[in-house]
Amino acid sequence: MAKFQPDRGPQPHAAASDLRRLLAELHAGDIDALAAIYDRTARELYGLALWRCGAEDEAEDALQDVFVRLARKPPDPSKLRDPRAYLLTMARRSACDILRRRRPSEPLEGLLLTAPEPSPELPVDAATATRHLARISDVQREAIYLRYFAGLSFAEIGTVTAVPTFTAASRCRTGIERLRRLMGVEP
Amino acid sequence: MNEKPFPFPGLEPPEPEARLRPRVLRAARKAAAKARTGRFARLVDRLWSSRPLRLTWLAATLALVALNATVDPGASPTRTYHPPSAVRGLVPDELAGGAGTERLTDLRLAVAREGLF
Repeated sequence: MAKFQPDRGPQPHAAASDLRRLLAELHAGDIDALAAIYDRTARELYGLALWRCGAEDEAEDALQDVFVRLARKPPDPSKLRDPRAYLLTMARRSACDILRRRRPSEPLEGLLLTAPEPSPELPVDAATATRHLARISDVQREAIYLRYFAGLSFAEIGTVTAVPTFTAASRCRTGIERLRRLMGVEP
Repeated sequence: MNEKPFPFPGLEPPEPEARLRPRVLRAARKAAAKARTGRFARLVDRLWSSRPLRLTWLAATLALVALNATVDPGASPTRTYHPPSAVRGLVPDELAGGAGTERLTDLRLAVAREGLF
């Protein structure tokens, strides 16, 4: 299945081979490889954690947790099918652990979306978009993030979130439909 | 499946703040250093906290030292090459043919000389 290409332009994802090489260096004991891994993946991992937790400080903690675990026990990249999916899975697990520790009813604190370039012509501003995103479920939100911002296929989303491909696709579709209803657009 | 576009065009998830990078990398380096020393410390700790392991280690060390002191390095077995011409007449012909390729040891040559064949 061809990957979905969002109309807002490609995201600078870390190339799998590059990431695999850096993980191999880390596995061989080169701790400096962590900085390069951070530069290539932090944005994506932080975004996923933020969309899962809804609070910036918790997303920061989740990101730190990923890198601490990577440093403590570097994975053998030859045993990883997809290093990027592996790191996204780690970020998701860290975010889920943080969510489990806090009270479940706490509302979203941070902005889940921002405008990279200020433009008065945006149909929805970041605060309104975040409010809408807060009204869909955590799992729908993370599926939408992985689909539209990490550019993963439904099968890859299923791998990261530990659900069947069909469930991943369904979460994404129902999440988008609910967002469109909230905006008053026909789903 | 006809997939709908993202409903909030022009908006993107925020990036992590720049101050987070040194904090994360510092924590990761600290964890890596702790893990490295932790593994060695755990091994030493395990060795010293277990009486049988401690005694085994001591006995093995003493045995190695004693053996090192008692064994004469000159007594170690040597291998000498004996060409087929040297062993001709001492061993049966079918063995003499293989002597050139296999390098007959002193021990085997001595056995051959004592007429066991």
